[in-house]
Amino acid sequence: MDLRGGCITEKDLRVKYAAYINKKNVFLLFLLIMLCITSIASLNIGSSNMTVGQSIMTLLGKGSKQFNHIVFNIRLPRVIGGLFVGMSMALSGMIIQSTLNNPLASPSTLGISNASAFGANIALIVFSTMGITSTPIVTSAVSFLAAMLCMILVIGISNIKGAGKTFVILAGVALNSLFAAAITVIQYLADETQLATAVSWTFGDLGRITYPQIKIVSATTLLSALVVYMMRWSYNAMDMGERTAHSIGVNTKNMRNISIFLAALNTGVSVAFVGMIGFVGLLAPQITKRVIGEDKRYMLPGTLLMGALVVILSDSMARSLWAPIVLPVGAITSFLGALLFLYILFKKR
Amino acid sequence: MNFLEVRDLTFKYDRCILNHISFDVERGSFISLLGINGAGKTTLIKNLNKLLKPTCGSVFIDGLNIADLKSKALAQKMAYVDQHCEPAKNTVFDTILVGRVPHINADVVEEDYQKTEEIINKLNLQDYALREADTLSGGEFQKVVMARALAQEPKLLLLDEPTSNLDIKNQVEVMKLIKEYCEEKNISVIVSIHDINLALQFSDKFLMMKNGEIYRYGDESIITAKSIKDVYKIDVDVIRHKNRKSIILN
Repeated sequence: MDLRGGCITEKDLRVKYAAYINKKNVFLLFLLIMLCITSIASLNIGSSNMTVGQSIMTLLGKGSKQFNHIVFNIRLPRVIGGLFVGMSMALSGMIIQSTLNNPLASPSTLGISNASAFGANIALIVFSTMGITSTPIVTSAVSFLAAMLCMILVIGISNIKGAGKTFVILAGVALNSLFAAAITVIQYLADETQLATAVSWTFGDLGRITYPQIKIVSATTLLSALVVYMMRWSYNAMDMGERTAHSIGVNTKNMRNISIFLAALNTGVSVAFVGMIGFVGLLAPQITKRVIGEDKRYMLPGTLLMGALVVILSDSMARSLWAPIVLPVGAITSFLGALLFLYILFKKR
Repeated sequence: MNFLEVRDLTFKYDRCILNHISFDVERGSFISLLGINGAGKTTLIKNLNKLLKPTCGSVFIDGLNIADLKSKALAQKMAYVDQHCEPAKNTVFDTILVGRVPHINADVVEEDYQKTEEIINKLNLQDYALREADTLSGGEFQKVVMARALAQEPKLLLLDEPTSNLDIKNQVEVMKLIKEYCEEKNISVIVSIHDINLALQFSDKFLMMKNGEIYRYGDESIITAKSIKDVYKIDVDVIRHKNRKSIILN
């Protein structure tokens, strides 16, 4: 979809602008329809041979006991969880890229994803060595705390006098490397069982998420999205660079702190519950931006929908490509994402 | 009371960049900041816009100390165009609309669209109003950046070398657009510029800086072969051509 405007010589600029905006709305509608179709299709993937009709009837409360169990206890939490985790990661990527004015920036670049994984490794390996068996709740909690620790470090670095956006990104890369090194050391010292558990955790699996966890992820995502939407014009200004944003009346320091906080919160919560699902934070905002531009009035809903779509689509593929083996969803998002990303880059260069 | 009053402004990094700068600006005047690289022109502009915090001294606009003004209130009074502006992946229309941010409460309203459209028409940007800003030429983009700043409806426009990357045609076009629009709206302009002839063509006043201090401040009478020799360390002849001062390198 090419939304670029052509040469305008007529006086009806506003009419043409309205038509241009309408194209963005059409794209958002297209994403929404695609997401609905993919989500319903995703409900049907599995070994029980349910038809689409049976899935829909079950959702409407007219399914058999067996189908109720399959849909409501196994597949629906996976799909709803995937929707919100995708939105959450895409939102994190979008605000970090906008605030730091760098298309390659993401929660991973700032070390937040690896910090979460570091926390999980502590819970699964170090605690186990100390004789403490880590429950999923403890693993998620330690993982989240580690992400928050990383966030405090990044915000602290970001507030050092004279720290520009490049400084923050480089500091994030250093933290990322630091947590990756710590994970390697912990895993090197682990026994085979501990190592297998920890590695399996980091793969990322939507099947782990429970309804109470979905409530936490959805509340975090929706509230964060609301905050970002309220600040959409400030983000539009930030896209033009920090100095320009300052001159337009944006408190750039606050914007940076709020963005890092929200990105860390969303990434921390998602990774704590489903593990690492790479590339979504980078991919979803970039695809959306290239289709409908950076105006956050439209890019925000577009990015949320795109993030959800990427994760649901990837999870569906992960479950169906080599069924009954379920591939790690993170591997699919990264694989699909990298290919699609290269295609877009070459097409639009 | 003058529209802009700068009092004893001093700014230090590890060394003193601005040293006790004081000057006044009248409403609607067009002032060129002249001086070699490192003289303190950009630092002065950034201090006026609170991008940098002065070590000591004050800046008053309309009698208000800018240190007491919140970001939005300051942005309603002055707009700043950086030396290196970055285009976002947005149309020209949307880029200029972002200039309305200091006036936006919950969302843009009809007045913001009208203002954007008015500036697009005034600056003759209609031909590429719906093109993406990152596909424009340097000259076109610089006009869009000016339009974005003017959409703020500032009383003072601060420009940091707005013509440094442009060819002669675009340099003149950009300066002419600023001059005409700001004259009509009674907006004061402070522009950091290297081309003295361009400055002489468009400015009412000149502030010559040397080593972080004001060397001279006044109308075109301060532009002499001696003052240029003192500030730039070059020999020039100052001539009058078509009733306008110009300098010629020796």
